[in-house]
Amino acid sequence: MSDRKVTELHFVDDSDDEIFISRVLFERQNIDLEILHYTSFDDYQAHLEGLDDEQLAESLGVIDLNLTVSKGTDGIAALRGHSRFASMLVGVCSGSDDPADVRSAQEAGANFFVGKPVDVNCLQRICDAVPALSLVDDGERLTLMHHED
Amino acid sequence: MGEDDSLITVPVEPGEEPSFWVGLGASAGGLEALRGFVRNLQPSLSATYIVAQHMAPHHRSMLSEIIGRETDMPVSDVVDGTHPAASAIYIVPPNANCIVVDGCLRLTEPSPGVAAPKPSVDIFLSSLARAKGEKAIGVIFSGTGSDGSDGIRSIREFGGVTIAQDEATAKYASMPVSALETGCVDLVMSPEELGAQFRKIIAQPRDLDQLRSSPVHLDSVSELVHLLLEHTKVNFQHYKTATFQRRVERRMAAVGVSNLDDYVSVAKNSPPEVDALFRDMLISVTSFFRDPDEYEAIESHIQEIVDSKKDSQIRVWVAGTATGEEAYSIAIMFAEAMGGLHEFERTRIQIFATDLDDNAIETARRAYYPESALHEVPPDYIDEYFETAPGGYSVKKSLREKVIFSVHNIASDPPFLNVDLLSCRNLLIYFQSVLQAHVFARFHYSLVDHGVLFLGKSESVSAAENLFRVSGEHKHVFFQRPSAVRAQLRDVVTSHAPTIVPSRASRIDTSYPPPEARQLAVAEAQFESLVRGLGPNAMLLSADLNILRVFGDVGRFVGISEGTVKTTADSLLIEPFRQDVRVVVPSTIRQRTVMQGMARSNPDNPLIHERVVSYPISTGPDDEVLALVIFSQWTEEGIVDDATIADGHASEAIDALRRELAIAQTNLQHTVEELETSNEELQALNEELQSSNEELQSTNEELETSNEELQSTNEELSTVNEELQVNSVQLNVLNQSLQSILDNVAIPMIVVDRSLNITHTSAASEALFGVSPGLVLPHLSRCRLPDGYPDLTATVGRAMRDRSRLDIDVSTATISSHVSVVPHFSAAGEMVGVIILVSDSTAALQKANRQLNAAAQVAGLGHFTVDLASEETHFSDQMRRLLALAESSEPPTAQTLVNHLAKQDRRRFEQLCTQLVETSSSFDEEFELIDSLGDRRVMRITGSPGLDGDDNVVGILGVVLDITDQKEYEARLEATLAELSRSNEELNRFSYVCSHDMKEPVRMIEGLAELMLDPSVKSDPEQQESILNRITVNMARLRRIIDSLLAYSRIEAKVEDNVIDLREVVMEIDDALSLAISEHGAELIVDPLPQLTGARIHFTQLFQNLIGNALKFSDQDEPVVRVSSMEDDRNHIVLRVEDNGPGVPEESREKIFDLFDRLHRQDEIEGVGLGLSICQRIVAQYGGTISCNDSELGGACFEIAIPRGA
Repeated sequence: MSDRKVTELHFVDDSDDEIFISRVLFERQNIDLEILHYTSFDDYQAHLEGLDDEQLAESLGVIDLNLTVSKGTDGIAALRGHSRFASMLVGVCSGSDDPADVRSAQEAGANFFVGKPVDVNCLQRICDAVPALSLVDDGERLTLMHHED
Repeated sequence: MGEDDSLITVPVEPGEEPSFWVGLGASAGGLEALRGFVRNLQPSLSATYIVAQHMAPHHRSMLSEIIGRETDMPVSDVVDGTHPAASAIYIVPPNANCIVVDGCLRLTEPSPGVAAPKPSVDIFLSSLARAKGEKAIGVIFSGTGSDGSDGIRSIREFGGVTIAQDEATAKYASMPVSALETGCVDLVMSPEELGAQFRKIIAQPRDLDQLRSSPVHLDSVSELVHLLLEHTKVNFQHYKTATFQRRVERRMAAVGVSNLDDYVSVAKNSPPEVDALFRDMLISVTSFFRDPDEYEAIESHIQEIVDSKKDSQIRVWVAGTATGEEAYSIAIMFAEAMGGLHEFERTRIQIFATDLDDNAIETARRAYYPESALHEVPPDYIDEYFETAPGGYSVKKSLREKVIFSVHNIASDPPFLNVDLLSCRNLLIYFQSVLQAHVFARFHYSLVDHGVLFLGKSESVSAAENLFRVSGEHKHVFFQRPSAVRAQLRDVVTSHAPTIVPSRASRIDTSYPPPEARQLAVAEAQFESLVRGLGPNAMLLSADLNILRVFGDVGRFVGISEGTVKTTADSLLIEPFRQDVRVVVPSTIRQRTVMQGMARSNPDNPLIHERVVSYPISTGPDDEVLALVIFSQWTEEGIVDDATIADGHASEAIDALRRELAIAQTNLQHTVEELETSNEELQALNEELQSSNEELQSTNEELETSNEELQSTNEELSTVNEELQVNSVQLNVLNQSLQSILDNVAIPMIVVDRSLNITHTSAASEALFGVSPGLVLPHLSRCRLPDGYPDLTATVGRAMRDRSRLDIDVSTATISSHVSVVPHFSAAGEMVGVIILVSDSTAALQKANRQLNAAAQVAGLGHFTVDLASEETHFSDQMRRLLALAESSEPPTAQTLVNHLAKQDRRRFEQLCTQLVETSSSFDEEFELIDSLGDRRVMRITGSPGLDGDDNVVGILGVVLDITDQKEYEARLEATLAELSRSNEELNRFSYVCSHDMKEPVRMIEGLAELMLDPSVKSDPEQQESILNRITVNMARLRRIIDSLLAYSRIEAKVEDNVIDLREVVMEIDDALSLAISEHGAELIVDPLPQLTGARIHFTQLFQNLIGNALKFSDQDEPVVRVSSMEDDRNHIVLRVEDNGPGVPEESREKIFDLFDRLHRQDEIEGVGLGLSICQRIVAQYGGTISCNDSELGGACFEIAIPRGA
């Protein structure tokens, strides 16, 4: 198993308030990640297309389930249909705990289904939901590690 | 016409050739038989009679003369070469044999043997048989010995007729019995009967074959004697006739026949009956110390025997011991004489006790007797010689061992020898004198010299006075006379010829050597000299006083008196000699002693005295004792004076008195003898009476027992009768109940017996089957069965054969019945008959059919039946209605239904029907049916197989249900369910969305509030303000959401039903939104709008949301909003709210009506996403629809279609 460091967290959410909160929290937690916010999936996808493979490998996508103009699951499904994005880590976040939403996220190809990443617990739930990831406390920072077979 | 008259015979002339030659053989006693035969013989028969009578060889026979007196036929002696003539009698002379040669009689030398009879009957009859064959008739009359038996056998061999004298009538039966024992005798009868019947025997035509084939014609008593002889080897020939007849009569009564001949027939065919008769003949009346005085008499003689014998053996024979009481009594007497049982045990004594009855001997050997049998035994004897046993006593072993019991016939079996005492009590009384004499001879031989013979109370030795002498004072104790003849008896007593009882004389004479002629002549001369010396005037007289020979001059004593003159002495002699001869001769012959009459003076010369003296003369072989009567005379010298004369008169008187006394004594003697005979008879009768009495007592006891049993049985029968009466009453009640049931039961019921005769019918069955109640046991086949019913006779027969119940359903157009044929059985399991029950359900079925039809009509249920055999198809009324068949349409067929099915369903229906017929399976499926009017209906058809009694498919039963409406209902139901499901989903979605969208601002407020507490934020006032603004915005949003949800929820309550003028509503909104309209620079165009019924608030909110959205989302500088209405072709009112805004993308036109769905971000256009959802919900409340389309104005056009009248 080799550890792959996740360096970017792509957070797609059209709620300005949530982005505001997550940014403040991540900053306060001193997480060694670059948080990138997108208010629409199209923006996120456009950003991904500009990344090379290594960058794609070190990125983690968290997409809001209920975007105003589109659904997060639809975006993940679109990514899984693309060869470059098929294996990347991407999941769904939502304030909902409706099993139908979880099921639809899995069917769309999400690696995980977590709450909104507005606190540390949210990151921990991401790691719990994605077996390939673990949250490592190296004393100063929390690092999301990706385990590869 | 009598029997004799039918036998016509042609009289023969003298000298004529005879048709039959009759040989008559006779010996001792033959003269009497011959005379009886000839006396009764019809003279003019075509037969000649040749008599072969045994006679002394040198005796001049007077047979011709004697026989000649009895018949008119010529009687002559045979001379050599005589040609016998018909109806003539010829006597074969003595000392010659006679044979038949060439039709004449030839005399031959007699047989050389000393004992050979002369003439020989065997030789004569044998030659006659050979010469004349079937024409020969042989007759054997009385005589001793067996001469004639071979001759009889020859005559039978050559086809002649054989006849023997009935032994009961024969003076000496040996010869006829011997002839009978050859088994060749055709007829047995007395001489007199033979003479009388001879005409029948030789009558023409004469059926010789029938005669030969017929059984020996014995008289009934003789036949019984022979049966007993054959069966038991015991000859009862010489038992006293009266005794024999009484025993036979007892048996006749026992077997229930009244005729002796019938009893003989029974006995011939029933050996057990012969055995029973034999047992009856053996009268076993005996007891201990019977006639005690007799035992007292013998006591002294026993003592003498015991005293005289000392150490030598004492032998005692108790003949006729029966069950042993007499033997044990005598044993006790000897024991007493010896001094007790102990001495008796040590003494050499042997007591032989014999009897014919093996059962009695068996009882005697057991030596057990009931207490009652010992009542004559002195108590001390019982203590000494008996020991107690259950219910009686047993003779002690030491006494018993000295007595040897055996079955023995005293008349035929060899006697015991050297016997000191022979007791034979009350046995001889049953024997005729000839048998008594025979037995006495045996007893004489058995006893030692002077041995003691102990007879019964009524018995004497009169038949053998020369063998025994009477004990002085004891009448029934006799002593044996030592005799020279005893030695010769051995040959006789050891013979096994029970029927032959030869006389003493014959036995003795046969031992004499044959005298020579010269010696005989000398003897005759000496005899004559002796007679003359004694007489000289004498007569030789037979027992019947016939004058056989006269010696000297007897003219002085003979005189012929008036009347019939015979050659007997009592006829020819003058008185007083006649009287003397009558007295002395019988005594002389009987006692074989010299007797003499009274001496008397000659009337002419008183000095001459005369006297009749009788001497016994034995004649030799014939054992006939004759009397030689000497008329002796002597002269007594003396002066005869008057006194003498006077004395002479006195003397004559005395003589006369003496003669009278002698006669009286003789008569008295006769009377005594007759009395003795009568006494014997009476004793025998008494014995029998005792036996009968015992039997009667036994019978009486049995009758009493039977009576008690009968009483018991009678009581039981009374009880049974009472029970039967109770049962009878119960039976009557049951019968009445049964009849009442049969009269009132509505079910036709017939009960038949095993012969199929009707025993019971119910009233209902009489109407159904036409059984007339008046018929007695009518046969089931006479039932008039309605059409459609099975053959009841065959069905009942099958049920009886299978012994099991049969159930048959009878279903026709007019009858619906169920027939049950039930065998019924007795308590013993035997089948008694069959019950036929008919359950007629026609009326009920018709009623049920009517109800079913009504129900089917109500339920819309039709049914049909198809008979596979006849293809007859029946549609119910409802079925016809389902198919819309006209009343006048053709009768339906199976194809009618198929033709009414939709084409796509026909093949499936036919396949299901085929499968039903083949596998007896049912189906239940839906089909589309097109009725005669062309309407399509959905039918549910259920098909079932119609089965017969053997479960064979014989038809199809179908039920058809119109489920068209049901299907429609189901479709509607499904739609409703879908709607409900959608509504439920919507509700769920609503709840979810509400919770989600409401949580969103809450969560934001929460997160922002937490941030406010962060130290970095606390120190940053700008950030704090930013966060507070955000909190405010989210709180406002939350409020809007709540307001919208309240509005949304209120839509559910359609509480008002008012007429609403929609234009007024829109105009009110125009006023309310006038500020916003003016801010946007918009124009609201309101066309004429209709009035609707409903809640005003609903339509206010509807139009406010749509108009507000148009203003809110408009991207034009001069927004235009137009509200209009129209009515479509479906009678709906269509309301339109259109604008000139950006419009709604086509892919989002449905989604926009979802809860909280928005096309724009919150930060772009304010809203909670509930406005259109509320609109849709309001429209739905009125059964309408709302849709989003492109507007002619360039923006969106929301069309609301509401049914008119909603």
